[in-house]
Amino acid sequence: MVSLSKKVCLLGDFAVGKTSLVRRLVHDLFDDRYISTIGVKVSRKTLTIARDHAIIDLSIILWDLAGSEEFTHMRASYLRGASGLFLVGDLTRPATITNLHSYMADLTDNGQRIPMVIAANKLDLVNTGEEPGVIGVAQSVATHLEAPLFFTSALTGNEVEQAFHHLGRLMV
Amino acid sequence: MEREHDLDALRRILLKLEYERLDLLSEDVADLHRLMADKDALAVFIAPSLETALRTQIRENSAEMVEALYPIIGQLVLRAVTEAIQDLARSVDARVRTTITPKALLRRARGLATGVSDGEMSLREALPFEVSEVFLIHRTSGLLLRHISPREETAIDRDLVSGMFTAIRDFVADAFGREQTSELEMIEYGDRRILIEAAEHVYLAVVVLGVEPPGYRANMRSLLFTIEQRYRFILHNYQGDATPFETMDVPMAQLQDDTIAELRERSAQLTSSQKLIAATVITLVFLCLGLACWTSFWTVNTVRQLQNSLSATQTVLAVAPAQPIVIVMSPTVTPIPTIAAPSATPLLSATVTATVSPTPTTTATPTASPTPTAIATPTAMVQPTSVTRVLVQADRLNVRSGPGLTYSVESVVVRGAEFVLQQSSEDDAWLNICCQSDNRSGWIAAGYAELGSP
Repeated sequence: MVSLSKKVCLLGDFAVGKTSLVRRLVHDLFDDRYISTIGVKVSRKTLTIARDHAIIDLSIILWDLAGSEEFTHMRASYLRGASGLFLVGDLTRPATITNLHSYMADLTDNGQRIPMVIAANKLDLVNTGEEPGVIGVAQSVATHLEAPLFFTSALTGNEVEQAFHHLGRLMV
Repeated sequence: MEREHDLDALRRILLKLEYERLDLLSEDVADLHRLMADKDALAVFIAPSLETALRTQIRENSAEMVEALYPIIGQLVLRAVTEAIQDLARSVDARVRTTITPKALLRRARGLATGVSDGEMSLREALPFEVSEVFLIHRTSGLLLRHISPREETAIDRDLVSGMFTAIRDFVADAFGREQTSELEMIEYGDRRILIEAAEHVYLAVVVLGVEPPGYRANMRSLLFTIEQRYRFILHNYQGDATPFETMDVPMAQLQDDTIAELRERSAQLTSSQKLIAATVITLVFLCLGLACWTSFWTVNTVRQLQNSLSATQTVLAVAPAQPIVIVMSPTVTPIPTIAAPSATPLLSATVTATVSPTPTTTATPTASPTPTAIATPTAMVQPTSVTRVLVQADRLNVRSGPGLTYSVESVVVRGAEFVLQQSSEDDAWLNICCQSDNRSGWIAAGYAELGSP
């Protein structure tokens, strides 16, 4: 078995549910107040991925970045060395999904494109039948960023595990 | 009896409510008794109330609380501090007792060279230093490459700690200007510190207790340099596989124990540059000592020669006729011979003129050199210096007070007596001789004496 560690950054506007997704995924060790003090909190998620007849023990070190504006200037620093991105938008606030474009500006890691997935979060709060527009917005952004789209819910756990697993497969 | 029963029934009907209350009260009292009997249960019961009361009391009357608690807590603190100081004193005493060891002597020499007292150095060495953990972390991603700790169990996932270290480093760099070349070098909490040394791709974070010995950070940098050299290509495009870094466990572990002992030992020794300086100083000292010995020997010889020369001059002055004698003294200042200037030009010369009376009492004293490094070499010349001997040729010859028979006879000398000619009469018939037994001069008839060289 091969053991690998990868740094993954969670990006998204304030209150889109990044930290809730992390809580859903991992057992937290650090207090959430780190996010409001230094703008980041680090967690770990371990995945087992089969690739090329080999089992890879993938340790994802999740950097949960603060979405608030006061930490915008820190974002580029925290993004350095990331192997993957987990972009999170809020389905109840379509602007937070379209804003995902703006985060690409901070990805200046040698100009190389790094693997990413988009999580359109808070699915449990949206009636997709009544609000088809927001789904279209999410799909449009995903198409533009060439990233897989997942409709997630930190509350129900819908597609959370799948989204991270997919990102893990993209990274190894 | 029946009536009594009826009354009781009536009482129960009338006082039914009171009876029920009494029963409840009895149960409560019984519960309280049970609670009082069970200390643990009582503590649990009153703890919340006590806690609230204490909090309120401390918040509102903190000064009084401190004053009230001081006799208890103050004594504990005092005892703890006293014990710590006693331990330190014992440690220093143990070191002071070994002050005659070469290590202690070297430490004193270093103290003299650096201006730090021996006591301070002893104290510095007595202070504890312990390495708790060593992290090797990828600089940009914050991924943990290796982690060394003497304790197997760690409360928090070290991968996450390394990530947070990196986040804090990035935060400090951004908060205080990334354009500055300086980086976060240390995080301090309580008596523990995290020493951080960074290289191009990796950095080391060492959790320590106490003050690191001199050169410890240099060792950290040396280890980083080795890692950078050995794993440059892996680190440049790190893919998250930390397996190749397993070989760094041994050198990292040396940062825990071996290095400290070595540095402690090394801190008591001299560095290569200090050794070079010490060797130079010792060589110079020996050179100066040799030079001083040679100079002393040379000075003594020169003074002796000078004394001999002056003695001879005195003798000449004593026997010479009463005529002006010019003594020319040419003190020649000879500098200390050096390799660069073996032949030095005389720096000082002097001329002394003296008129010596027939009864010489004058003693020429050589002038002292102006500085201890310059030696005066006086050269004396007497003009004229010819001495004429007078040998008595008569069995008995009168010595008169003047040149002529009319002068009184002062004494009589016999054949073979030898004197020094001082002067002769104008017609050379009488000779003035010196010196007789009474150390006086006198005149004898020239025809009864023979003149010659001494």
